[in-house]
Amino acid sequence: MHNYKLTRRDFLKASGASLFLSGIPLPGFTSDEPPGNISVIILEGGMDGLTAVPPFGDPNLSKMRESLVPENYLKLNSFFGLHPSLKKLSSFMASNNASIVHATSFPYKKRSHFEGQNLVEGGGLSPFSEKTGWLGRSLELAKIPGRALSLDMPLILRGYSENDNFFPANIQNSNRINNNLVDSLSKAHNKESGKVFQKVKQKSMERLGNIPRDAESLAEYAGNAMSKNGGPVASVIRLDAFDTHASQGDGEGKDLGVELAKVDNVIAAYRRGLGSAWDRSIIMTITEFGRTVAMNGTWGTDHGYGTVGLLAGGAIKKSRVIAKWPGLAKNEQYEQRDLMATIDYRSVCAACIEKSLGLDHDVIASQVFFDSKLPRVFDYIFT
Amino acid sequence: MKHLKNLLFLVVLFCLSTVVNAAYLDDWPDDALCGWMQQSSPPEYIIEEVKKRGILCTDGVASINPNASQNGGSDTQSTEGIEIYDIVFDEEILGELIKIAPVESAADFTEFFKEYQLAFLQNQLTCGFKLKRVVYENTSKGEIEDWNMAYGSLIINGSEVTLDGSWRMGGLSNDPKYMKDEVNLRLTRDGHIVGKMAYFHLSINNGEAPRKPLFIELKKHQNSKPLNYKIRAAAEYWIDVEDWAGGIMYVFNCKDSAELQKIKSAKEKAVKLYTDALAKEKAELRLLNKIYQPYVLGPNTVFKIDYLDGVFEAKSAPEDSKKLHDDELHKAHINGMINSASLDQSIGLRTLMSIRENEDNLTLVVSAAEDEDKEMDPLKEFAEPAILKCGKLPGFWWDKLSFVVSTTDIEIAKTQKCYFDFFNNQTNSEAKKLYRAILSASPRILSYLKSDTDR
Repeated sequence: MHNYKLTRRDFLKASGASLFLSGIPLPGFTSDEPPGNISVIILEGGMDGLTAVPPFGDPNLSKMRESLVPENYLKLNSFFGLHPSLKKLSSFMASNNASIVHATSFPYKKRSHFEGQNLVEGGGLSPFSEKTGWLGRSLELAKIPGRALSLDMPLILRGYSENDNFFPANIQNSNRINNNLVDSLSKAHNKESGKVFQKVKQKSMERLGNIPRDAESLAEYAGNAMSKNGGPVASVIRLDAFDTHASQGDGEGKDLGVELAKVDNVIAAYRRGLGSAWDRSIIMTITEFGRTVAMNGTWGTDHGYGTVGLLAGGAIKKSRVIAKWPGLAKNEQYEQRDLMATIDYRSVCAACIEKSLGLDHDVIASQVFFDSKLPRVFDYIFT
Repeated sequence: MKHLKNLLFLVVLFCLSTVVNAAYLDDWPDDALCGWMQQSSPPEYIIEEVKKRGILCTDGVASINPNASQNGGSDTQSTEGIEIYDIVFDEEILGELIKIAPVESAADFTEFFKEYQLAFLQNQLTCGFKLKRVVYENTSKGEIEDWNMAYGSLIINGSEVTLDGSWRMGGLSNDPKYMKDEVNLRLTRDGHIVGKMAYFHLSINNGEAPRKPLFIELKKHQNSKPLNYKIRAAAEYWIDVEDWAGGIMYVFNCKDSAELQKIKSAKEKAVKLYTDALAKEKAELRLLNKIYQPYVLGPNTVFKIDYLDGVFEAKSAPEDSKKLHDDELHKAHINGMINSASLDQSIGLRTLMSIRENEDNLTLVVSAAEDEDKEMDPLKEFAEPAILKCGKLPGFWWDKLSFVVSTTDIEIAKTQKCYFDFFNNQTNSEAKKLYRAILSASPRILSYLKSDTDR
């Protein structure tokens, strides 16, 4: 029996970072407690996987982008390195709690942020084809409706009518509305509209605590919420500024290095918040596409295709880099410009859902990603 | 032959229809094809065309099939060829990586204590501690700020150091768990405190977003003065936090449990003595209360003076005095007459006067200096002996007499009574008369000074 004393607090939104929590088990909905929890960090702008995890073993790397390869990368093995900004991730790797999937992407090749972001959240077969998101559909299948705590329901979590949204406007003297007025409005409207007004009343009565606003604090808060019995089982944090067309840099203090450090800190903050729930947790990054292999004329990279996915969490028992390495020679690149994606990142998402929500891969493939032939990569990541 | 002709006709017709369909569909937009695909049994040639074009149809809308091998795309629909690249760190790097401790919990430091030789104290030691910020913005030596970021007790048990106190940085620092649970410190044999602790380096005000603490490491800092736990000398532990500021933890007043017990007993004894003394004092004050009218106030009692009806009538405008001391107000040379019905006297007064006022006392200070007007002559020779006998009152100087009008300090009230007794017992009736006259009119002189002088 779950303890349903939920602290249904707060949605948290900040410039540059926002958090969405969902999947709060409700009585009568959840047949079994899900085996774990899942957190998705959306890296908006298209992260350059070749700088984050440089495949220094490929002789073409330095030829194609010498100024973008960090000098002091951490050698993970004889082929792959890790950007020095990802120190904490490397520490998780040392503890066998983090992995990397390289040369991967959602199946999107057109290089538009808007389409790409929609596709990686929607998880459909083409941009704007889905009105729900792959995580929302997964929660529905796992019978874990809940609330996405945000002003706008993020696409990735859409998929169930019982999902609710909320945004705390912490304006002085505005946190109490006239309940009598709302009651009157509720009675004056039909059943469905009346429910909306009752919802407004309920939300207005929820107390807001001291709300953290930076990405790290959001992650720690989310981790803490998910660690509680009966707490949410999914969270989503957005980070932006990965669209590094110019001055991308190679080291820790450079543009991309700074953004990668934020990702690193967010993952570590999740770890702090999750506490003992870490062992059943999986944290994954998604991004709409990778970037060009070669550096452009403004010391940056342009929109591309293949990239990397960073995975962390106690659910991972053996750290590794998983890749079907396509090579970086010109004729090995996608359209002779981008890193080729050889692993469908939807497969990675499916594996993480399978691990965290306990759903069958075939169900995820056909009902979440609408692709019954989606390969199962679970064993590569979790065994 | 006839059947052969019919068969040939059908074959030709089929081929032609296919060609016609294919040619016809070439002009169809993808979405039109997908519209047909929504039917329960779409025509085969439509299906073929959809496959040929490599499009996917969702709700009648076409999209590019991501799995179609176009533009040189690779096959992502198979796990064949996926390799696992094991992560191999060498021992040294592995040690460093684990030390990064991404969890940022003080508890993670435990295994590193083996790098130190730890002390082991037989008796528990309890000290006071306070933590201040050291700022390096202006000098590399650091400037210690004069306020406490945290304070409380520091307890050393064996080698383990725990803190019982509170942070004063607002935000999450108000949560006592950081002081209680997120401190993992040990005392080394040479008196240093090492380990890891949650550390709030920034102040958070109400309404500001809270910030998580840093988890800093206490090391043997070159500036630190380690604790000599044998003689219990005070210690200073310098803490490196950020480039612009660090911290310093003062550890002082260390006592073992036996000493603490002694202090506790002594405190209990002192409380009893104080309580007894207070009871005795109250008895004395009650006795005094029978003599004076309530005017000069002391705690739990009042003094009584029964001739406070003196009236001051100015003969000329007050002359301002330029020199003012810190709590001196309305200082002026005044000239007038004091008339008291109770005392049945009328007496001239021309001298320098001022008011001294603070939270505890309101005092009229009268100058009896040699160079003051002859009206003050009777008091001039008695001011110094009175001070020597009774002590100093607010506004004290050797040639000045103070008249405390109100006070919350029982000692001042007693001193004031001593002055009163001193002049009351004088055989010099002029001095006695003048003192009593000024006392009788002191409230009204105060009012006069307040209303008729500027400062």
